[in-house]
Amino acid sequence: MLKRFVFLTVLSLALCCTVTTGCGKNKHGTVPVTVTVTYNGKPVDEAVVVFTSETTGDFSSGATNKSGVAKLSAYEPNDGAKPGVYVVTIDKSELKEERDPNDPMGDRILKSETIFHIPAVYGNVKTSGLTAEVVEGKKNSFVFNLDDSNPNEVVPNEFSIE
Amino acid sequence: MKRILRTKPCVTHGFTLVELLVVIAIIGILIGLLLPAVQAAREAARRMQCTNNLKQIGLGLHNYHDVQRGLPAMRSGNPRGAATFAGNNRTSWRVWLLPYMEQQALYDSMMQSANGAYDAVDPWTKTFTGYLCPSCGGPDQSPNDNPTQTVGIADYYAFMGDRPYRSVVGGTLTSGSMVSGVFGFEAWITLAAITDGTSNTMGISEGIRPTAVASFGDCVTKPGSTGWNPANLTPLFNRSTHSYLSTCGTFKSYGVLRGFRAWDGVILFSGLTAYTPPNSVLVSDGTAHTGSQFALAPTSRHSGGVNVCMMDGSIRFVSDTVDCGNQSAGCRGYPDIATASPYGVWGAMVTKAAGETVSSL
Repeated sequence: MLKRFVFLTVLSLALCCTVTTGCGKNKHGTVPVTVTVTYNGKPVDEAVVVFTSETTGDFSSGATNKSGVAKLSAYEPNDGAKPGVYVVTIDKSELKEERDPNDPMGDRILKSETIFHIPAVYGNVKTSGLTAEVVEGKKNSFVFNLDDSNPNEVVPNEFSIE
Repeated sequence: MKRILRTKPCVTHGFTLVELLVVIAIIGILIGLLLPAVQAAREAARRMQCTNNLKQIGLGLHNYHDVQRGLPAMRSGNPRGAATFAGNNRTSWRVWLLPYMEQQALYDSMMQSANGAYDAVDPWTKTFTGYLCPSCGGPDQSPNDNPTQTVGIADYYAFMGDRPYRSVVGGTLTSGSMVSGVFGFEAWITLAAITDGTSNTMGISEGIRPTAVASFGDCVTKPGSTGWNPANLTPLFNRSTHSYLSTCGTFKSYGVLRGFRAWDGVILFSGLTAYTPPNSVLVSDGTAHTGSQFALAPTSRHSGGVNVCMMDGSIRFVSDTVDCGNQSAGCRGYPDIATASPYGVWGAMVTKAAGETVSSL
């Protein structure tokens, strides 16, 4: 009796698993990707990691957690990235603004500056020097150990406004 | 109990404890089954009410167009008494639409005001319930440092296009030909100019009032060096925890948060962009009304998407997972309104004259 019960439970659980994994295949062909970011040996929290393909227009991005790990998302939450070669940018910065408290129109900014928590060179596709190849059927975990040795010059990450 | 029953055997009509417990358990299970269904029905009713509000706005826009021979601008003009100068023409489309939403009296009192639409004085502090989505459930006062500066509340916004925009494009007075979408600063666009087809072009959608600074629906400033492509911006907002990264700047000490100045026409209080996906990040590169650029995704508390009023007056429910195209692509330049949007169906639906075909959602 007990044996039969155990057998049935195992069978139904197995069935459930097959069904759910069968449905789990995503329509965009992405595979899960995780990225670990450290700066001078310490994990970086709240860094924005972006994968950009220079040839196909594929992309994926995510933000790191307290242990410096980011799960990337392209089309749906945590779906990873399509297989391919990517340029990787990592950015952690803050915009500090000083507003004029006496401006009723809300238009006057007295001072505005950007503070970088990791070197600014890593935040731009032209200067980051970081790449990653996402491969299907493999565990796609990348580790980027950043430090102050990137010799590239900082280029502002802006698009034309007019 | 048992003793009493034994001594008085004639009393046989009472229920035993077990019977009562069974009945209570059954009722409990039934309520447990019913309650989520009731909640779902209530949300469905609220969503229907929201759809109806948007429908009324859509009809109002068409009536406005019939009379004025153009659609209202997202931001234009001022009441006669208030100072009028470039940068101060900031009365919202919501005001200009009021007479076509059966709110002539409110409109008249606003036009006679000596103050601009951004001042926290009567009649600007009034709210029109037709501009509120019942699902939103946000607070009535701005949850930042200046709750008393709230100037009316509203949950519906006008689409400007498929890139981050300034309230005043290029910092100077320009015509509406600078926005890829239907609504813009002093852009009184005609329906004839919507060559992509009014049923394929989005006009109005929702934005919830945030419950706290930098919470879901609030706009934040992007970290200084983060790129402007949508793929760079979306990680700033965690869609499962509904929170922004702490590196994002806030509008905490600012006048009021988005949603709490119903009649002010600047993009933060009246505009939307179809750039980042629905229910995602709202971000600007600074807190200046005129100088900063804003990418403002529509947000709602309906599960899984947002209601959108198309320019033919039909209402569509657009899912969070709508095709948003190549989110790492750079956006169009300012004078360009005629090239196809790189942002998939989402971008194609917001442009009025870019020649894309919108097949399905």
